[in-house]
Amino acid sequence: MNTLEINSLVKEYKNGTSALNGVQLKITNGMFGLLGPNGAGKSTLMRTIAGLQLPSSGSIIFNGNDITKDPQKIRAHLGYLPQEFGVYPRISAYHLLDHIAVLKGVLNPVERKQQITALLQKTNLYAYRKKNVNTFSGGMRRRFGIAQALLGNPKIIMVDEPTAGLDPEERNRFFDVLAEVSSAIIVLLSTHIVEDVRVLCSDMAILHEGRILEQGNPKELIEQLEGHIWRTPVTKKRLHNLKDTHTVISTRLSAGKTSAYVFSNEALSNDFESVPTDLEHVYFHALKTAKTNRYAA
Amino acid sequence: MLPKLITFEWKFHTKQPSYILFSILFFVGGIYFGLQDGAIHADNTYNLHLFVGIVSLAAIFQIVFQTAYTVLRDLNADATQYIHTTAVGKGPFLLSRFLGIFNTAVLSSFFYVAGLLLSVVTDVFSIHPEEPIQLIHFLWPWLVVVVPNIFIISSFLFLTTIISRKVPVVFLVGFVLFASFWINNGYIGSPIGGGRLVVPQEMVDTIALTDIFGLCASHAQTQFWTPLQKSTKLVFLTGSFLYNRLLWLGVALASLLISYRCFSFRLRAQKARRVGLLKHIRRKRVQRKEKDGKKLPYLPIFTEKQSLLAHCKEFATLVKIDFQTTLFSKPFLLLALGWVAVLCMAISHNLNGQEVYGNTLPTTGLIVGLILEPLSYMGLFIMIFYAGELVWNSRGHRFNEILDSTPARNGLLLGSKYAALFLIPITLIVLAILIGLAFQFLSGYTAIDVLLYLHIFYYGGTSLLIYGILSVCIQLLSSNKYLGMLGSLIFIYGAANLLPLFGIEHPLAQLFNLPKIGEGYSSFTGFGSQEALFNKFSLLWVTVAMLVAFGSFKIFKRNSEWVLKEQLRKLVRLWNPVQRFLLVIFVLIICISAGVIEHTVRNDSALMGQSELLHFREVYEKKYKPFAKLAVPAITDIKTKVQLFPKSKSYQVIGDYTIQNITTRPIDTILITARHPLDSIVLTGARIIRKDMASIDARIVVLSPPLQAGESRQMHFKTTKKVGAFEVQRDMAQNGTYLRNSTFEPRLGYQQALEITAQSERKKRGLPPQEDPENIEKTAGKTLPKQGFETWITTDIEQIPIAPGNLLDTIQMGNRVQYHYRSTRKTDNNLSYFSAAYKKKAIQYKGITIEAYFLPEHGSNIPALLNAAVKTLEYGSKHFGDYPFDHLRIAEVPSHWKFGGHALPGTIALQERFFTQDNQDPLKGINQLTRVVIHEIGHQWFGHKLAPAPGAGGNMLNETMANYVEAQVLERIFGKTMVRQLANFNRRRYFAFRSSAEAQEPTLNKVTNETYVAYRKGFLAMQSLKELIGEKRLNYGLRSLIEHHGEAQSARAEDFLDILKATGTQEEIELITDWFENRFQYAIQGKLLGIKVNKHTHSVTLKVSAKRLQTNETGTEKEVPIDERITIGFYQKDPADPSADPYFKKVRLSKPIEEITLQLKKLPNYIVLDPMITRLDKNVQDNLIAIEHTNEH
Repeated sequence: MNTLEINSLVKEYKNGTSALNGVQLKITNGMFGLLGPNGAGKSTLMRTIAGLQLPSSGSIIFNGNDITKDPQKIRAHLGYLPQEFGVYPRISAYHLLDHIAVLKGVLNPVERKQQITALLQKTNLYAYRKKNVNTFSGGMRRRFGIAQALLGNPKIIMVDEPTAGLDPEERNRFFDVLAEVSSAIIVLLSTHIVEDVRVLCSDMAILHEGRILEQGNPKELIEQLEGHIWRTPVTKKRLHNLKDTHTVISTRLSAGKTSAYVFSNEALSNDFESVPTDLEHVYFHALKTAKTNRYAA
Repeated sequence: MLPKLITFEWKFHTKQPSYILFSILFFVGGIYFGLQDGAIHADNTYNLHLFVGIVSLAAIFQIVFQTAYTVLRDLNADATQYIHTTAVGKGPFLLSRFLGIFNTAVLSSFFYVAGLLLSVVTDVFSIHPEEPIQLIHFLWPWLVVVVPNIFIISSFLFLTTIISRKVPVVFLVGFVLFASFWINNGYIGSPIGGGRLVVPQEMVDTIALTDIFGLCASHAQTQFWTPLQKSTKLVFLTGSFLYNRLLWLGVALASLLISYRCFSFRLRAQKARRVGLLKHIRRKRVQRKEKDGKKLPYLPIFTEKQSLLAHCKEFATLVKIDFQTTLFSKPFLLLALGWVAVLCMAISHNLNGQEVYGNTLPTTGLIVGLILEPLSYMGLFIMIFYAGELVWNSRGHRFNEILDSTPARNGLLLGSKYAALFLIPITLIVLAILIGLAFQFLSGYTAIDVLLYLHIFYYGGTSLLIYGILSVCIQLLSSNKYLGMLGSLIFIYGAANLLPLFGIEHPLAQLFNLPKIGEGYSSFTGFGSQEALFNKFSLLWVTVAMLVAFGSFKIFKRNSEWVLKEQLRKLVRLWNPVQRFLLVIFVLIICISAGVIEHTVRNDSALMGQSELLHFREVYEKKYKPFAKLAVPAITDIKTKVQLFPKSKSYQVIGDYTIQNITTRPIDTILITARHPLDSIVLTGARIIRKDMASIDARIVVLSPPLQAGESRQMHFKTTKKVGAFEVQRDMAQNGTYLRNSTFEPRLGYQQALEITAQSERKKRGLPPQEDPENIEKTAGKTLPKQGFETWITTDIEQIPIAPGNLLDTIQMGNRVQYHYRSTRKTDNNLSYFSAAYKKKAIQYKGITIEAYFLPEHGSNIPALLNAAVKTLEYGSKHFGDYPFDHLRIAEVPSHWKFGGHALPGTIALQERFFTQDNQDPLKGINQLTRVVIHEIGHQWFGHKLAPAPGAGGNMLNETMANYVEAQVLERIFGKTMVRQLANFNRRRYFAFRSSAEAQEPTLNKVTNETYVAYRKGFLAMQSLKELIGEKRLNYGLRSLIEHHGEAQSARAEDFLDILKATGTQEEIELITDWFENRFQYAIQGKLLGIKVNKHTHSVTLKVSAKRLQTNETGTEKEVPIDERITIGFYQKDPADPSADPYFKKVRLSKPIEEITLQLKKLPNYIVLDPMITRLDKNVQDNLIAIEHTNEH
């Protein structure tokens, strides 16, 4: 069993921006979703785990090793797909994978070839393996990124916003791959798409402004809010008033009409309709609560 | 919108660090140049023109940086899509971007001019003249040279960026522009290049147009200007300079138009690779077959990270990928092509000396020298550039997060950068060697020295290794690639020059600087006397560089943040035992090698920094100048015992000189000066009253009783010398010693040669303006006696010792050999001692033994050399009297001597390069081997048999007459065409050197050290004289002169002129006076008016314009009436054709413009006025009339 423990992790940039504010997480084998809006600190957290950035304080323990002191301890077992990446020009997909595989320690040429071929097939890039990667489209390049992250024998895979730019078919294919490998390793998936976490993850955390707002099993988190989410159709004016009187966690547009979703521990009037809770409600509720707490503070 | 865009660009550029840095550098650079004594002459308009104009070259680098930043900033910042979809039009968009670059570069260049002006106006060191500064002299070149150049360079680089969209290509084109200037400049040897080559006017005209920077065009316009003109006139916007400006501004505008046409806001589509039809079909078939391949399951694979094999494989793949992404790229391909082109040009230019310099054999030494030179300056830029490219390679391609999250170790990631970086110069050197070999094979040259080629890696590669390591380290500390490149350039240049700039002249103060190896390769001395020093400094600076590299591994930044503090923290902490051990080893090596160098410096008594040397000269002059007025005895007999120890580069000389008072009054005090301290000196009846051994051996001796008029006494001295490691001297070599007596001999009397000559430096040190050397000699004003000479010269047994005089005997003593020479005739005090592992070839000619001493591998030109010697002896004996010795020795000396040949009595030193001249086609160009041999043998009559009295005009009897002999013997061996070429060479060189001469031009009969008068003008004057009075009368006059002055150093130029005038007509006397005692030039021009065909003849009518111009010492011209005969040549073949067999006619010209009708039996193809170029005429192209036979009426 692989474990990744993040203890009181703080990251402050030189310009004073506080990207991580005491992040505390414990992750074991399986898919772990890191959900958060843009700028929440997801990429910073991933880069810090990958040893690409130094934390201001705190520790990251991977399988018993503090990797803030020795990042090699995690790199030897890491597959990392950054949110944005480029590639060297004039290098084919096969050769670039081969290059990364050697760097990851896949020394046996036969095995290396087999694994690269398998990954190219899995990511639907086999037919383009001799093409230079810099000529790939955005989706192809992302698939290439996934392939390289899976090279070798990773014990932890971190994928930062992996489904951006993928069409639904590719997205499913990608999820299949992750699901296939996640039983024996940690897969840390960062995203702002709630659906991705819902579909894939057995465990998750919501990160906002560098803090963990919620952490747990998605089902359990949903269950905690069951019966507390209410929906009501609103106009702009009513929404404004509603925000003053109720805890509006989100609004949603459906067939041109806006509905507001309200969190309430008590039953509401007939204008409100109790709706089944989903993960998105959990996510927005957490963000709303964080915002309210901040104002209260 | 456009003004707003321009304002935005202005703000953007002026905030860029590169702009700020360049502006500061330019301003400081301007101040620096203005403070350099002897560099800027504020009272010389042309000098200011050059110094202001030269900033154009530095501006290239600024524009490169700014263009790369500006034009590609959208692309680099991934902002293309939203910037290119705004409402701005293509024209305003591009124009604002271009003007952003242009405006700021113009402003930066102005800072340079402002800095220059400031330092000249303030003149803190009082080095500039007191005349008021004219602002226009600074602003005009900035307006006509610098500003247009910035426009041109910006346009080219702008176009390059628009088309290529690649920063490396912009850098490369910038470098090509920079190099193009130096190549053009080198071809014509304009004053900036310092080459002062004599090249055909056609080439000057061509280069004037092709030089993008207009400086060669400025040179073309001013090449024949007099010093006065250069001081007062601005370079006009006329002629080739105007054409140059218009041409390149036109090309620049066209570039901008092309940029406009090529630029599109649309995203650029990926280029489809062209494939042949068959290949396409085959690929499709394979693709179909391989569409999905055999399905394989994804399985994690065991990884191996710690083994050596894993590290090796990782390293190999990292190097491969870096190498692939940098070297297999278009920019590198262009760089390699540029490198090949530079080398091919340099090699072919040197092998084929064209009209003037003759062909040279493609020896490996020559080619290696030609490779090392461009490698040193190109290499610095290449290493700095590619260090940046490689360090930022993964970041530049945004691949760093993937790469850095792999388990590859830091050491391997950085180590692979070094490996890929060093592969670049290795590739360039290998390419260079292949080119060299190709030249050798194509020329049929088979004596290839592969080992010597491999030396390039050491002598050329060591500096690049150091530069590479430093640049990588600076890039690791830098927050930006381009800032890193600029920082590297400043650091490397600053490290070598900063401390010396502040007067710290210790060799170790030139950080990371290796001694310059390669004044070209010599078969005698290899890469020069400083090879051993190079090894010591290499060890030191390479170890320091290794330490820097070691530190680089510590500060290697793998994370995506740039944290300098963190990097520095790593540098001082976290050292493991192995690292500590290595650190200690490196520091030990550094300490030891620095200690060895320091010890060498301490022991090197001859080592003197520039400021020390100037101080010594100041003190010498202040202390001993009063002794200049004292009468000095003359040396009448010399006996020396010279022990040469080539292996240790040391010698010992024991001298017994006889000195004689040749004045009419007793001499009681003598100042004796020796450049190297003497072991002892004894002068009969003398007492030393002052001894000054601080920097030189200066002694004042009092003679008691005084040396009476006519009395002789003995002077005995002993001196021992070991050449210091840092000492730049040429005399002693392990093979190829050429020890001049002036190097060791104690000199009697005040030595004016030791005075500081730069007037501004004299002013600074409170010294009065330097006296004209003429005055001192006038006070001496004596005819000097000749000297007897005898020597015993001993050297190692494998070498042959040579000195002037008859060889009396040789003695072998163990592993040493002694030769005893005695001169049968008295000579002047111009003596040297040779020793080298020579091969000897001797022939007899009418009782004279002609001996050639040369390196065994340099034997191919010996027959030609001996033939030239025989022909000269034949001509000289016939016309000037007997050759004075029974032997003639010609010995090869190393190529570090800048002279072509040096004539000692009966013995000639001939520089190595003539032994490697390609003499297969002796008629190609001027046969320099034969020319120099003739010239030096000519000195046996004019210089030794006839020794001029000291003082003005002496060089006319020495050098002018030796040049005259050259012309006569060359004509007999090779014909008139070569003499015409030689005359043209001398004509051009006269005008070019006069143009840059600082002193006023003396007349020929008063010439002292002005080579352009004695050699160049003298050649033409003697050819004119020959045409005027005939060769027979001229030679008779020379013979008479020799007969009258054979016994002492007594002949004067006037004596020769008097002999000629005594038998001359009035017209001849007047012309001789004009040519030798005044300054005259001509402007002759011919035009064909018509040809009439008669029964048996052709009647050819020419319009001849002939101006005669008298000039004063500053070159101001005044037209005077002409009335003299000039020669007209009639050629069937081109006058440059060696087989041309012209016939000549003389015509009298008595009007500035005349119509001349000539009756010719056969119509020539060319008519040439003054065909042998005997007159100083700035333009001889208009003397040649090509006849088209359709002109016949």
